[in-house]
Amino acid sequence: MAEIIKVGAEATLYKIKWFGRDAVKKVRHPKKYRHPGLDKWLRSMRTRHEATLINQAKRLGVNTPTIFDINLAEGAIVMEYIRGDVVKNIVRMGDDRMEKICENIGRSIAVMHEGGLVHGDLTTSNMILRDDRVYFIDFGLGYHSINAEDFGVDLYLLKEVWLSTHSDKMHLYDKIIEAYASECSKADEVMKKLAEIEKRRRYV
Amino acid sequence: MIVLGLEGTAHTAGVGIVDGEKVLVNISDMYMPVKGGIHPREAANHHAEVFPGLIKRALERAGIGVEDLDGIAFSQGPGLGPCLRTVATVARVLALRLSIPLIGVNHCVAHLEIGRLLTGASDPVLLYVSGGNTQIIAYANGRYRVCGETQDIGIGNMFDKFGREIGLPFPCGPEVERLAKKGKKLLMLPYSVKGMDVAFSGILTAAQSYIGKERIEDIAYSLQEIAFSMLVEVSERALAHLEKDEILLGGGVAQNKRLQEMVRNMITERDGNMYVPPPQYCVDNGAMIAYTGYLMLSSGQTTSVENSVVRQRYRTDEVVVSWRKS
Repeated sequence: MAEIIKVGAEATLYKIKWFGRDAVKKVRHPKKYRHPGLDKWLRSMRTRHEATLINQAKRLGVNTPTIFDINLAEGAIVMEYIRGDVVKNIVRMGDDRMEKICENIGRSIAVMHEGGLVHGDLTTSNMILRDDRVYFIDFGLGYHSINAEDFGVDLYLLKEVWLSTHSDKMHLYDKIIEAYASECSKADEVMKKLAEIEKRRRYV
Repeated sequence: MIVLGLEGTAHTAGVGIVDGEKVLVNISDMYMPVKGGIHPREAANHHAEVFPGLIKRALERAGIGVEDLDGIAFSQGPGLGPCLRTVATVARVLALRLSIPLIGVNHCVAHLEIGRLLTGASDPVLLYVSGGNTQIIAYANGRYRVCGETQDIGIGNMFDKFGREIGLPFPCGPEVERLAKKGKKLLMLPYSVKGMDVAFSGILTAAQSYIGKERIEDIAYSLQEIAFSMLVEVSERALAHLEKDEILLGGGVAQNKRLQEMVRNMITERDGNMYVPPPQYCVDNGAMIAYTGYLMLSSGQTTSVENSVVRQRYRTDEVVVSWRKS
């Protein structure tokens, strides 16, 4: 029986051995609440998609786990085990290197966007700190885009999560945005979109 | 402590009276458009007409007089401007005339508080689904945070717009639900989840394009299956992220049996519990405003007349939740 690392909303993560190496098996189990056809389609599409995006992000220079294997019928990806703590906990507990870590996060997001990748779920639970490097995981809702609008939505989600989880540490969010802006060629446009998206919401 | 609450953010004029945690009375009068959806000015006129009678009846039923009231609570927002202004005017007049505190209440927060009171949920994630609103709300750090919400229209509004195309009467949700029960075939509609947020306008457009080409029952079925799956998915994400295990439903769409079934399936697999308030407290109602007003008043949160201007876009997370310790 494989050890369960985490039961997430969408998938369960198991710690397994892959030919002697520590690995994570991410399985998107069927969800009984939704129509079986929709369920099968969503799980298989997201599995294939996520594997592709993780590899593409890595090629761009963003830290992501190395993929060992995928199984579409099972909805499973086997990938490298990243030993570290999620950024959510690091932010909560505080860390001497916090500003550096946030710069790191901002720059990585900029690199993804520059390469035409939108993560789609930039929560602090989806970032792992190993040594001084921030690894991005869970690209299940990611997609390809070169639109400032989509980059803005990506960052907006991060802001929303920060407001709901780390509302007492908004200066760190600002640090991320600052680093992002210095690294992204479309930063001005994206920032304008970000402000626009906030205003466009139903209630502001 | 007895508080009278006035609700009137959209089509419902509601009056409720609470004595502390006890709901003494909850009555309402709903504006029904002759055709189409809610006309804000017509709805406001309706509210102006019915409020005096409603308030009188509410006091009679509670067996109290105006002199027994300790505070007047009203729905300050979010909602339709003309309706909100009508309610606020009634509330100001009462509070000034009786020289008792005025309490401006956030409508979305009120849905959550009445749900907690009546169902016994202690720290739930609220899936608030109505005509105008679609939000996933949870308590964190002194406020009710919006964990996810619609990026365009409310889910009920989507059902209404779809229903209007095929000649269903307003509100169309219950009719769509009836049709959906006879649907079998799942049609492809855009599944639009963006992180913790959802969007419905694309699904609506796609569903409308099926009209005349597919069975109407199948379209209604697919509309519900896809839209509800999206809501349940983001709710589950909020539960997982905030590490909570209670889900509370609120808003008119919360009465949909298929939505309840899906949420129950999800929460059962997570070893958590689902809570649904009685129907008259799911929809807009005066008791929820009165009760939230009571909570605010007992923690010293009141609204001066100068600050009682209505807030059409009053955000849930602007409210400082001083009455909750954790």
